[in-house]
Amino acid sequence: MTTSTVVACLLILLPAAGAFLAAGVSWQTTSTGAPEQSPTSAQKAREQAANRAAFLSSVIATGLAAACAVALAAIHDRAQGNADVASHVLATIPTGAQPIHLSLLPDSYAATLALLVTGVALLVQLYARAYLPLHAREHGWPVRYRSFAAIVGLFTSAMLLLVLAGDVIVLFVGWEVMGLCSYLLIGYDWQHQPARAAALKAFLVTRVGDVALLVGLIMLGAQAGGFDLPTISQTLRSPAGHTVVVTVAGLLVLLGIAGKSAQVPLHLWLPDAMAGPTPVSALIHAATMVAAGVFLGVRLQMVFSASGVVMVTAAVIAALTMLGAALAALVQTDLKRVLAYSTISQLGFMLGAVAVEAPQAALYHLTSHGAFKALLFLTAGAVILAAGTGQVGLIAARLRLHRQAVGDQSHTTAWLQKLSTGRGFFVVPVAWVVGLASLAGVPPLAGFFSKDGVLEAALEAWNGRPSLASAGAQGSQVDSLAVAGQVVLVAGLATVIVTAAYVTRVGLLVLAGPRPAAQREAGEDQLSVQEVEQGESEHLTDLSAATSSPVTGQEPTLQASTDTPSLPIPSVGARALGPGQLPALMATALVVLLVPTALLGLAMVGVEALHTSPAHMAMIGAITLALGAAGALAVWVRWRTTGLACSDQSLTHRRLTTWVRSGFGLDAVVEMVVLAPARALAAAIDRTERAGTDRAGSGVAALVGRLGSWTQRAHSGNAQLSLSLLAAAALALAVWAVIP
Amino acid sequence: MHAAFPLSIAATVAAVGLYGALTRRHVIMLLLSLELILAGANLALVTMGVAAGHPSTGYIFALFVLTIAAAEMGVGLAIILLLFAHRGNADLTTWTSLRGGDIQGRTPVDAAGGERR
Amino acid sequence: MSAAAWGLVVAAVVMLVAAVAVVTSARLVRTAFWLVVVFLGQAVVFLVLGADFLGWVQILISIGAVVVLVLFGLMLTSTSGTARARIGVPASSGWRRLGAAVVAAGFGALLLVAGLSALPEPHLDLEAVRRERSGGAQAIGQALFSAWVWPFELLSVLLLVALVGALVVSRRPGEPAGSTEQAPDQDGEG
Repeated sequence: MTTSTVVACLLILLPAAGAFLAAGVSWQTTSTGAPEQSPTSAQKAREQAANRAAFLSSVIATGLAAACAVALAAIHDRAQGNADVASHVLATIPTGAQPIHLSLLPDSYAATLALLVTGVALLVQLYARAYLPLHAREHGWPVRYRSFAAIVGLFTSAMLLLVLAGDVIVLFVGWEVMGLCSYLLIGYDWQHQPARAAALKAFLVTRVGDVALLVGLIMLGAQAGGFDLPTISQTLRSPAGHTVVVTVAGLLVLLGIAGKSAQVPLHLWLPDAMAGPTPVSALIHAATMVAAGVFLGVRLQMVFSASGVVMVTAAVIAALTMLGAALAALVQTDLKRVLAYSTISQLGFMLGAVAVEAPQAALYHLTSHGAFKALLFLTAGAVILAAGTGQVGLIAARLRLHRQAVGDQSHTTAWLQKLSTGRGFFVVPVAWVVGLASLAGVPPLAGFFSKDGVLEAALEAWNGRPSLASAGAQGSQVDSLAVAGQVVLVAGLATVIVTAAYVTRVGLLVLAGPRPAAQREAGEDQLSVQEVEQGESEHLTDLSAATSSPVTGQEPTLQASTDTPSLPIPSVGARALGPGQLPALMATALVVLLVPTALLGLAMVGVEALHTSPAHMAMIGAITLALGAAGALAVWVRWRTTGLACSDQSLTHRRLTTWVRSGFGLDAVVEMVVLAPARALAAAIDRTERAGTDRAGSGVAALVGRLGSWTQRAHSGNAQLSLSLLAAAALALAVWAVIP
Repeated sequence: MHAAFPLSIAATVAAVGLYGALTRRHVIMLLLSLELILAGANLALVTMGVAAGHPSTGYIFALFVLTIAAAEMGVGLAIILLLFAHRGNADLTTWTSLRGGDIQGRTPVDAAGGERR
Repeated sequence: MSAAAWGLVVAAVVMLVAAVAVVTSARLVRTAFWLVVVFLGQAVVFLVLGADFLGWVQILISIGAVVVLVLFGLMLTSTSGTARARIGVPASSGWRRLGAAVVAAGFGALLLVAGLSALPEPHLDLEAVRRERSGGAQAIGQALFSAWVWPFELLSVLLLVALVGALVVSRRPGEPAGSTEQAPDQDGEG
């Protein structure tokens, strides 16, 4: 057993151990106290101690896992590359046909992903410790910190299993456990009906893809004679492996990827999944789980290379997803939904990279996107808490109001003080701007390089880069690669414009509001809460009860200590989080995430595998910069002149916008094509059961009863009747014996 | 002469007797019907004996049957007389004690099947 | 067609009519007399088939003993007390009679088919029977007391048992040695 295998095992087991510890603590305390009674001080103390224990166990476990990931990456750095990495089989499960190997493949891809997963998971654990009590107070829901920590730990473990698995069936196990965790965490606020519905929707929609994926994986395994990744890749590398079965299996795998990574036919669940708490969105629905589909694509790159059909289909799906989701993000009114659609769009980029046979580019974009999107989500969580609303049109005004309410007298000094102690809200705008800039592709940041890597790969594919498939590849293979390159490149360049546009829009809305300061002061110089809400809330559909309450002058003073933010209960209607206060844990997470967002791109710029041609690199960089600047400028000009419309009333193309905002109405299509027939079928089955099966049952009973009472009459004790029946039976027997 | 002729006579007589045994509700009529069946059997025995080339065997079996029929008639009539003395009528359908349960006081209405248990 | 055959036809017709009358007649005493006719026809058939002794014994026992016994029984069970009374018991239902007719016809057909199929040579050699006098009293007696002597003795025991049994059974309840009214009832039916 090599060192890397040991480290990989530790990586998988550590978060699971932390999760079990946290869950065990949870079990112990909840079984002692009666939940209905008001908690006594002893119970409260016990509760806090349990929370602290769960926090420490999960953070320490995740931290150790992160250390293991660093070690794994270091091993690979020394070993230089993937060549010598072989999957290590821990055990073999005989199945009667191809055996399932419990094997690990701790190569450099896995190390990169493990680093990302453990890092983001650690930061999210830290962040959530401070965030969840505030979130709960905001809505008046109970805190369920310990179960949250446990499920996140389980999720981390499952994701690491997926990343490190050397066998597609083992990988699938991690895949499914992640799906379960996703379901549980989206439904974290189980009191909230939309959260429950979203959890169910996510679970069901991804299940569609998962079934296809499992079938596809089994087909691949049967075709390759084994389920481990090296065998499958090896088989598909030879021209003999290019069969119809592989094409079908590849399409099924693609459907599975689409389900997990929210690509076009199955992307519906991700925007709704934003009903989960923001740390969950950051970890699962932005940085890691949704990227798992792309990672699977990277692992099974040869499936895409082996079949031109799969390759072009993937490219088309990626193109549709990246452009469509970016357009949808442009018109969203909810901050988290903007980010969700942006995630879908960026996942489209990654899938596009897989489709043009650029696994490194896909992985690079995955990593940088994981960093900056987690940063954006965590920042958005702080912003939404501070503003008390997720509606993009309202956030800026709300923040401004709260800042005024805090008091102007010590404004400057307070900010400086908060910033110097690491508790300043000042970190939020910085993180917001940096994250958005990275998303839009502003040069020194990670997003610029990783996105350009994808587009470069697409360009080279178009230019006729030889396919990864066997050396004697058929001409059609090269052709399909070129087609995929064209599709991805064109859609990607279009998406760059739209991305810059929606980034500018949401950035301006959050930081400055729908109108520039000049217009605002001219029109409505003294903004009050009432005016804000009269002006905006009448068309904003999802205003929670908490946001409509008037803001008092008092803001709660948060005494955020390092490990337990024991918050005083605020007065009714007060914001959970004032603009000047940010718990240290949340600030820490944001600051730490800022580092890779800013620097990852520079670290990767020299990697040769990503950039084959400096000329192409420069050309693509210039083009994307120009396009992005154009998109951003258009939005900025509109903001300066007319203000950004966030209400339906002020829209010029209201129907079009509503259509795009709803994800191009695909939900309605699904409702019509899948759900309505399913409900009709269910109703029909119900009717059939009531009218048919049930009645058939009772009818049989009645028939038997009638038959019984009828034959009872034969049992009258009448000797003659008995004799008649006896004679008839004897005759029948005799005839039966004689006739043949 | 073909054996089918006397055999068909025997079969017909026996069938008529069976019909009577299954339909007559008077007990003595039941006994008479049984006599008819036995008569048919006797005819068949004699015919078969002659046809098989052992006429005396058939005759002797017929003789035995004749004797048994006489004995049966004697015992049967004795039983019937006793039952009649006890029941007070000769209607077979009212004699439904074979049905089980209580054996006393079963009226013809009960036996007609109007009652369900 | 020979004279024997004609005799058989006549006897058969008479017998069938009488048998149907036995099972359908509504008057008690008439059924007994119709039974006499059946027995007479049977005796004629026996005679035609060469069983002279059997024919006469048939007339003697069946008509002389059985029918007389039946008449006594009828008189003893007649509710009206007269020999001319109607049967006093309603007939079976139509469905019951139809079913019984079907079953009876089936049995008749079965009997015929089974008998014919059991015979290797279905021809009746009546001349041989007459020639060998195998239906006469001498032949019957010889067979009875040689080959069939044990069944014959067994039969005599049976007759004795039947005689005693009939005596025991027909003793009226409440008379000496009859314990209770219910006793024979329970014995007979329980």
